[in-house]
Amino acid sequence: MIPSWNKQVMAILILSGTVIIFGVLADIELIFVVMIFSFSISMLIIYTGKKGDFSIKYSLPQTVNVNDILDVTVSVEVTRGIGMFNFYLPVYKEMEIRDGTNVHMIFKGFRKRKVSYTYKIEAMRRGVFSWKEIVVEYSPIFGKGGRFVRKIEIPQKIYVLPKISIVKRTQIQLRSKTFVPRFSYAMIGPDTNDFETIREYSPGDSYKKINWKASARNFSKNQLMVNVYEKEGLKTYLFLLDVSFSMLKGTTFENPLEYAIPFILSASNYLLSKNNSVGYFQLSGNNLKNLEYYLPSTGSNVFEQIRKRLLLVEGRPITRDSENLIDRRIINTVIQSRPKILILTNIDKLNLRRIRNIAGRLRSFGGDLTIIDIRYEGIIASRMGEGAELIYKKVENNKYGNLKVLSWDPYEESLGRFLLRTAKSSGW
Amino acid sequence: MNRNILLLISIVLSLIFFIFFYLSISSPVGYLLFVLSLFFFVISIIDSITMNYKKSDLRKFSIVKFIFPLFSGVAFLMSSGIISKISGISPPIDPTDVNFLSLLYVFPFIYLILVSGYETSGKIKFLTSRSGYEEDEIRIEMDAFSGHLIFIALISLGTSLLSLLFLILIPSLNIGLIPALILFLSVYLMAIILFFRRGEIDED
Repeated sequence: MIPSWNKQVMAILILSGTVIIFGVLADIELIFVVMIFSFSISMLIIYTGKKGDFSIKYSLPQTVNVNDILDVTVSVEVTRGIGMFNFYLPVYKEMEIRDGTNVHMIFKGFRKRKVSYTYKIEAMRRGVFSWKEIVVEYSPIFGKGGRFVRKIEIPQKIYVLPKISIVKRTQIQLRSKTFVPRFSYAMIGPDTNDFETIREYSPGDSYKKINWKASARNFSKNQLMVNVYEKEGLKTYLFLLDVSFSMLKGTTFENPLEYAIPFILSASNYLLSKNNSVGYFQLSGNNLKNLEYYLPSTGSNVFEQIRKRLLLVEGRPITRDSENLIDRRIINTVIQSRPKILILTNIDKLNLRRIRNIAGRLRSFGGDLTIIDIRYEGIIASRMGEGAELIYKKVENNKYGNLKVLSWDPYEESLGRFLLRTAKSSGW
Repeated sequence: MNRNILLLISIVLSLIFFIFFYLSISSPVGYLLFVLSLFFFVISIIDSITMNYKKSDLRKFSIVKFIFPLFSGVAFLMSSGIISKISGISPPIDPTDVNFLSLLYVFPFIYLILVSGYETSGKIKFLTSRSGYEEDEIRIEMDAFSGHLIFIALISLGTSLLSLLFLILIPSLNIGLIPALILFLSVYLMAIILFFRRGEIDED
């Protein structure tokens, strides 16, 4: 911080040395004062050129919701050294400082200094983030050595949870406006022990359900047969989240993907409260990793598990090779439990064909499908002003074909309202 | 202490020296040296103030401020001692005032220390105010830095004057050779011990 200081002091010492020589030649006794003055300054240089030392305590939040404004408090005690301490306090990706600053300086003189810094940050986007380290830079005002830059790692992470909308059962009209068959596939839940029929084996069926005697009888067809049991009355809901780049249109903090996540969580919260079975999958090819799906299940833990997975979702490119591929676990789930499927996507010209292909295949396996098209024009328009809709022309509604599509513009309709509309439309 | 007050104190101290310098002039050479010294002093003040607003490197510093004390030194050299006798030039300063003026000569040195601090704090302020630091905090910390420099300068000045007083008084006390040696050795040992203890702390 103060690299010129040493040179300046050296220049003063050289000058005083020269003057003392002048003084000696001029036979002036009192020039001695200048000599002692310079000597004292140089002694102080040696004395104050100490190594700096400090201690830091911090209090950082660990779990917050999106758009929460939180306090970060860091206490600093500077115990040794004479000079300038610069502190670069922790921040993380996808946050904004709302009040105060995370860079501070302390001039440490002869006395100890103890300071507490607080600044407010706003969590802008859901996710799991690492706090960056605290960086401390010390520059002594005097002395040649002692300058350092020290980094203090912060082991803890911050979990930014998406905000959800709590929907009460009484808010949702009991009778759906659309016709829902009494024994639709969506009414079908997990297996009971009551035998119903025998059918041909299809990929995804449990091996335990294979009826070996019936398979032997159909030996000539070279086809395995499985037992079908009656299902419980619970519904199974499957959320399929498109993570292609079409979902990232808008801004980093506001795009269809960021709106889809609180929708899934809010809907899951409601459906689980009605003891439904809820599952979640990413629509990103056929080889999903552990944290990219959650098989349909009921219970209090399901919401946490789905939320944990949604925190980590990021957009990714979908290649031509994988655009029509569906993970086998999705197909198995559709075959086994005939779920009500909600695909959350942003239908544009780029992915219309892909979504139609996927929807067609899922339907062929028996899924009852609804597509939620999260429109982004409102997001863009809010940033760019009027006329943005003309620039970003969407697929016309009549191009959806035979797809059952619910269109949602988050800027026109709140999450809670859209959730109610979806619930009514889909007969939850 | 406000850094502007730091600059003001340093200028006032130097002006005191210049006033007495002017009053002691006894020849045209003295006037020439005085004008040159004052000229570089004014230039150094302007340079130090403008440096606050320059986007210059922290490693660079103004060398102009180190020039003006040299002219006063030359005036001393030509007014008293062996060189003035050999050269035969009329003394720029009245030889009877040389001793007193040399005592005030410490003020330009205080000016150099304080103005260096002023320049440094100005540069730090300039750089940090564009790096997200709070302006109030920069001001408070730079004031602490300035106050610290004045404190150091005062300690040094006090030490020099006490030493001078000590040297004036000691001969009149007639303490004798042995006590004088003991006194010298004890001061010497104290300084050495302090120096080495400081070294040990640094190694820790």
